[in-house]
Order: sequence, then C-alpha cells, then structure tokens
Amino acid sequence: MGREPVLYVSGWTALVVTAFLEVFLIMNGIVRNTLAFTISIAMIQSTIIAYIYQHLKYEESSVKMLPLTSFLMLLVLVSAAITSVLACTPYLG
Amino acid sequence: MGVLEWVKRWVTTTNHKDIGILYMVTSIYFFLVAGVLALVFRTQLAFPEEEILTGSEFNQAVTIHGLLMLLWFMSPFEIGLANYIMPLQIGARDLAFPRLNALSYWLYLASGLLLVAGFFVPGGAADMGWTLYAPQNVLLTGKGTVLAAVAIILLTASVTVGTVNMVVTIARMRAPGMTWSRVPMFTWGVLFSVLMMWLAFPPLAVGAAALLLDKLLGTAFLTSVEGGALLWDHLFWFFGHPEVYVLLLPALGAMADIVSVFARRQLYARRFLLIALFAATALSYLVWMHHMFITGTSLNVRKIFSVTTALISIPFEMATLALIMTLYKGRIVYRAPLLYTIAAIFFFILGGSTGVFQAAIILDRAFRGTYWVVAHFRYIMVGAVTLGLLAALYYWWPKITGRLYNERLAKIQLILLFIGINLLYLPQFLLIDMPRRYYTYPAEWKLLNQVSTLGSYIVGLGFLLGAYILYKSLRHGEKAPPNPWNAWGIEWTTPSPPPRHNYEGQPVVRSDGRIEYVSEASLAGSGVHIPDGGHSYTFHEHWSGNPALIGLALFITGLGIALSKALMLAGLALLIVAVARWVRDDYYSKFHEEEPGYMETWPFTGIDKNRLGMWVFVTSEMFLFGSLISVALFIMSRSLAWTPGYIHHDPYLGLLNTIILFSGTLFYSLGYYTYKNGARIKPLMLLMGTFFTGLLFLFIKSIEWTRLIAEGYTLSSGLQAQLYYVLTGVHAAHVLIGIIATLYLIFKMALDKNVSLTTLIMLGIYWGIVEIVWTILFPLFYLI
Ligand code: HEM
Ligand SMILES: [Cu+2]
Repeated sequence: MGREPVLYVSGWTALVVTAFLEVFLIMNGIVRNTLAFTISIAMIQSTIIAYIYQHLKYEESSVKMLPLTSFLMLLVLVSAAITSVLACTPYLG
Repeated sequence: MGVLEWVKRWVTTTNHKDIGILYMVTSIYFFLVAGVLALVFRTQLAFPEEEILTGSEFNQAVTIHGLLMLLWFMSPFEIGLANYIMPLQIGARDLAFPRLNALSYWLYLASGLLLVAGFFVPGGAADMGWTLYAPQNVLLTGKGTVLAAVAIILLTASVTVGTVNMVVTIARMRAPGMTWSRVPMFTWGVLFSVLMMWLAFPPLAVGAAALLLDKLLGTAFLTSVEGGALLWDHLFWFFGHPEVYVLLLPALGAMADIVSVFARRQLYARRFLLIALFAATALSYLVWMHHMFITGTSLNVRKIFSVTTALISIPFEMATLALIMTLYKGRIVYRAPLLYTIAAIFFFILGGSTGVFQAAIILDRAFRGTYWVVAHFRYIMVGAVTLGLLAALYYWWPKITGRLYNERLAKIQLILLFIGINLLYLPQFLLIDMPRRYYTYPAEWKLLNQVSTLGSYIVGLGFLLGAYILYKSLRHGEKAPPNPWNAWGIEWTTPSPPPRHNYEGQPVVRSDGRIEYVSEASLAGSGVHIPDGGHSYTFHEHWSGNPALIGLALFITGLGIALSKALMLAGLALLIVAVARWVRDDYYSKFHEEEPGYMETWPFTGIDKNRLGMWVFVTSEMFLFGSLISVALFIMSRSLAWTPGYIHHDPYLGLLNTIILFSGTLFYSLGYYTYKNGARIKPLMLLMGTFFTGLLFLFIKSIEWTRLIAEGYTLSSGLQAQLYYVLTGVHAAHVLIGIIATLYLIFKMALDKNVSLTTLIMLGIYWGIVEIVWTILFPLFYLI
C-alpha cells in the first residue's frame, strides 16, 4: 500500500475508535459534562474528516482559511447566542 | 430580431453583461414597486388620524417596502453593476461560472415575484415589519408570510451561488499584472460585500425555514419560550447587521473610484482605506446584538456588543476621511458622478454619526423603535447608498449603454434629491418620541410628518426626472467614446458598450501601470508568465435555458407551498426536469472550459476554479448546518423540559450508523486513490461501496423513524421531537443527494466519460460535510 491509502485507513480507524470511545464513556456514565465532551469529540472527528477526506491537507493555506473562518464565526454565533440567555439555563448549569 | 428571438436571447443568455443588465432592470422594477408603496404610506402619514389605509394595509406596505428596498433593490442593483463592471475592471472575459450566474439571476427574480405575490393572496402580504419579528411572524399572519419565507430561502440560494461566482472570479481571473494593489476600489467593495453575504445569509435562511415549518407543519421553534423571539433576533440580526454593510461597501467602492478619477489623483491612503474596509467586514459579524439592546439578554454580553459597535465606527471614519482628503488635494472636475458622490459622503457622515449614539445601550433604550432609528438608517440607505449608486450609474452609464446623458438635468435631479431627502428624514430625527410603524397618530406630530411627506414627494419627483434622463439618453443620447471621463482602468480602454467578449486580445497591466493588449497567441512571447500547463484559451459563449427553467419551477413550487399542493407538485416535477437537463449538459461537457492559466491567481494559485468554488460554497453550506445546530443548542440550553432520554434513541444503532457513514468515505477515498493511479474497475467497485453504505444509512434511519412514529412521536410532540425530525431529516436529504451524485459519477465512469480528479475531490468535499454534520448530530440526539 502506498502512503495515501495508509492515511485513509488510519483516518477511518481514528474515527471509528473515537466514536466507540464516545459511546462507551457516556453510556457508562464516566463523562460528567457530556455536552462539552461530545462537542470536543465532534471537533476532533471533523478535523480528521476535513483534513483527510476533504483533501484539505493538500490545499494551500489560503484555502484552509475558508473553513477556519466559517468555523470561528460559528463559534461566535453559538457562544454569544447561548451566553446571552444563560441566565435562564438550568440544563447546561 | 423578432420578438421571440429577443425573448429567447434574454432568457438563455449567460453573458455577464447581459445578466448585469437583467439584474439592474429587475432591481429597478422592484425599486418602483417599493417606492410607490412608500409614497402611499407617507401620504397616509401626512395627516393625523388618517384612514386611507387600514392598519393591516399599512403594515403590509411598510413590510414589503423595507424588504424590497434592501434585499430586492439595493443589493441586486449592486450585484448587477458588479456583474457588468467588475469583470471589465479586472480584465476578465466573464465570471468564473456563467451558467451559475444566470441561475443566480433567475432565482433572484423568482424570489422577488413570490414576495410581491403576497399582496394577491388571502390575508395579504407579510405585515410584521421588515425584520419579521417572532412570534408574530408565525401567529398573526397569513399566506403572505409563507411566501416571504420561501422568497428569503430562494434569495439565499441565489446570493450563495452569486457569492461563489464573485469570489472565484476576483480571486482567479485578474488580468496579468492586475495584482491586488491595482484592483479598483469598486471591485474591492464587491469582494468585501460578498464576503459578508457568504456567512450572513445562511442563518437568515435557517430562520426563514423555521418560520416556514412553524407555519406549515406546526412546529414551535419561533413560538415557544425556548426559541421564540430571542432565537429569531439572533438569527435575523446575525444576518441583518452584515447586510447593511453588504449594501454599503460596493457603493463606497464605486465612490472611491469616482473621487479618484474626478480629483485627478490617486486615492489618498488607499492601503489604509483597504485595511479599514477589511476590518469593517470582519467586525460586521461581531456587532449584531446592538439590535437586541433592550431585550432581556445578559447585560454583560450586551456590553461587549456595545463596545464592538463603537469600534466599528472607526473604519468608516477612516474611509470618509480618505475620500475627503483625496478631494481636498485634488484638481477637481465637477461632473455629475462626482457631485452625487459628494452628496453621498455628506449623508454618510450624518447617518453614520447617529449610529454611534445608538451604540450606547442607555441611549438606545430611548431611540429604539422610534423614528430616530428610521432616520439613522435612511440617511445611510437612501442618502449615502442610493446616491452613491446613482453616482456609479451615472459614471458607468456611458460604458454600459454607449450613450451620454444630459448632465445639466442630472445636476438638477441631484438638487431635488438633496432637498427632498433632507426634508424627508431630518424631521424624523426630531420625531424622537414617535414610535415607528404606527399607521396613524395624534395631532401633536402633525407638522414634522407633513414636512417629511412633502420631502418624499420631492424625492419621488427626483427619481421621475432620473427616469426621464436615462430614457432620453437611450433614445437620443450622443454616442459615448470609450473613455468619456478621461478615467483610468481597463474598463475604459474597450469600446462603449464593450463587445460580447469584452476586449480584442488580452489586456495586460505592465509594471508601470500601463494597460496593453496582447493577442492570446502571442502571450507567451510578451513577458507574461505562463506556468507549465497553462492553456491557450479561446472565449466561448454558451447559451442555456435551464437556469430560467429552474427559476420558473421554483417560482411555481413556492406559490404551491403557500396555495395548493397540486401546484407545488407540478413545480417540483418541473424542477426535476430542469435539473435533469442541467445535468445532461454537464454529461456532455457542454460547459466545460479550461482556465487560461496566465491570469493573476494569488493567493489561490494551487487550486482550480471549480474546487475553489466548491470550497466557498461548502463553507457557506457548513454555516447553514451550523446555524441549524445552533438553533438546537439554543433551544436546548433554554429548555427546562429538555430531559435526557425523553425520547429514546438507541445509541448502539446510532453508533452502527455512524460507522457505516464513516466507511462510506473510506470507500470513496480509496476509490479516488485508485482512480488517480489509473485503475478503472477498482474505483468503480469502491464508489459502489460508498453508494451502498449511503443507502444502508438511510435504511437504518428509516427504521428509526418508523419506530418513533409508531411510538407516537410526531412533529407535534414538543421541541425535542421536532428538532430531531428536522435536523436528521435535513441531514438525510443531504445523504440522499450524495448518493445520487455518487451514482451519477459511477455511471459516467462506467461509460468511459471523462471524470476529472477535481470532480472526484468535490464529491469527497461534499461527503465530508455530510459526515461532519453527523459527528455533532449523533451525540446531540443519541447520547446527551
Ligand atoms: C454604515 C452604514 C450603516 C447602515 C447601512 C446602518 C443601517 C442600520 C439599520 C437598517 C438599522 C435599523 C434596523 C431596524 O431596526 O429596522 C440600524 C440600526 C442601528 N445602527 Fe446602523 N447603520 C449603519 C451604520 C451604523 C454605525 C456606524 C453604527 C454605530 C457605530 C450603527 C449603529 C446602529 C445601532 C446601534 C442600531 C440599532 C438601533 C435600534 O434599533 O435601536 N449603525 N442601522
Ligand atoms: Cu446593526
């Protein structure tokens, strides 16, 4: 196998392992803050997907800026929207 | 040319100059509709206790007026101007994706007509103000609001496609030597503008979709306490604030070009100006909560937004200063475009500085919802942007039509508009205690309102005169030379109007700024760098009726969504036909075109236009999904009743599906690899793997859905069920599209049609979004 297939297969392995881990840790009540935990896992998985399967690894940095900007802006939207109403948020506590 | 041929020409054109004209003419039509509405409601407001319009009619008039002026007149007019002028300015022969450009236009037309059609349906047009605030947008309105929501979604599609086109064109199609430091300000303005549309429209579309679901399927995203008004506010204003700069920047860019030409000197501090505008573009995404200062949101968060709002005035002060300094030191030639620009700068200063007052939360408590705010943004929208656009129109009119116009009349028009606008809006600053959007009022506010109405008639007269000037120029105007203003820039070196392919030969900008024309054949010997594999290039023009057909199909579908199921199905059927015809053109590579290879492409040198376009599109699409997910998180975070496990989703089944989805991409990527290395059968098999895993994913999904429905969970079982169905439903729809696209490529490969590696990479990028979205949906619904 060349280097690329190894990359593809190991990316897949990482995705599957993190997915298993996520389910295992949560179903067994090991994780406390499930929301923060799952969002972190999702971010790791998304990075793997974008880098390897969307071929972002092979693009120049100006192209990488596009999804990065979009991601940062999303962070702004989500965090401002949620913190702005956090006063009445028992669930996230 | 017979009438039929004439119609056919305009319906099937993909040439950027034609589309530009279509955009501008259509936007002026919407301007007329909106303008008449304004005159009608200003007439109502001329006398206290007036009853020409009922309250409902008044509300419809102001709502549609606002929406049309901002979204269907100003911005599209700028897109039209950009369509026509921007490629000429940078030395390109067309936009990067001509057929998509036509699609943008037809979607825009369809959406605008749907919005206006609201007046003719039971219950009338949308009537809760242009901000469409929740929950009245769901609870107190009729079919017209459904049409408005559909219109906004279609417009978002149009704008997104247009953004991709503009970004890729400006990034990769600049003439040799047209480096960023030489790119004209109007083109810069367009670039900044589309960069704001890029991420601002998706949340709006999500808001409109929520509105549509609430109205049609009985969900409660915008009517519940958990979502409701605040959710809408966030979605709408995350769009709404960037949108106001979306409108401003192309006009400002044009004004900068004009000032420089008529002051006969370089723009003062051009680099600073660009930095300022870039900062404004970035900051525009960070101030939206100044529209929520008097909501019950966290005071600390509001304080942050008060600061960012105060900050954003700085770049605009710099911009204004740069324009004034350019004039101050110049040898000024007072022609009509410059005079309009100066007036626009004047209005911009007044409008912008009143914005700074509103940045203070404490002051905004008093201003909010009064005519003060109305005056603030009218000074900018009408005074600065519209006059700026008139300046641009008068500047480029000879280029576009090949005719000169009567400048004396244009100056008289400016005097009318200047007096009219001030009479119209100055009194509104003084009406600081009168609430906006009241259809009638007590006698104490009479005088100021009457002055204002008088102003509106004078403004109307001004535009009437404008119409006469342009009409006369078209009929009897003197023929325009290529460069009537003695201006610089590539667009002035080609005849007025330019030929279909814009230039004879390829314009090249030399290091001293001279513009030369080089025949494409001799480019190699002309000192222009042609990288390895640079293709020689011939300009082809393509015609296609499919964009218009798609627009028509979506128009019918949209009407059907509001009015009748049969109509909707007919529209969808037509849509399928239209898309199939589009794909057929693709199948025969009808629109395939090599890129020239010698254009300026920095900083996107290592990518081709299709892949770059895909990335710009995909990031916008991700933002759409992101906004959808943020709706879920927002509602979740406010839900007292959000109980984990309230609806049981089997986590292990979910895990299985997650792995199935991941495996699909593994197959895809190995397929890509083998294809790249020349194999022909293996990639087919591997892509079949992707195809079947996609199907399997949907199959398992359908089992889950059937189970849930059997357990009695429907769209009326509360927000948690609603979010689940909507989010996974939208995701499943994307999986389905991925499956179809994969099948299409398999088919093409099997039949030995040429499938480029770029196409395969684009497929991977698409499947990538589907998976990335799933990585968050899965835990959100199955694990938390
Ligand atoms: C540069 C061009 C500008 C445009 C086109 C513009 C446009 C608008 C529009 C349309 C609204 C009202 C929306 C509505 O409620 O219907 C508005 C409100 C507001 N603007 Fe501007 N604005 C501009 C500049 C500024 C600046 C420079 C600032 C502050 C530094 C500012 C601060 C505000 C604030 C705080 C509000 C909210 C007022 C309220 O609703 O109480 N604006 N602007
Ligand atoms: Cu704003």
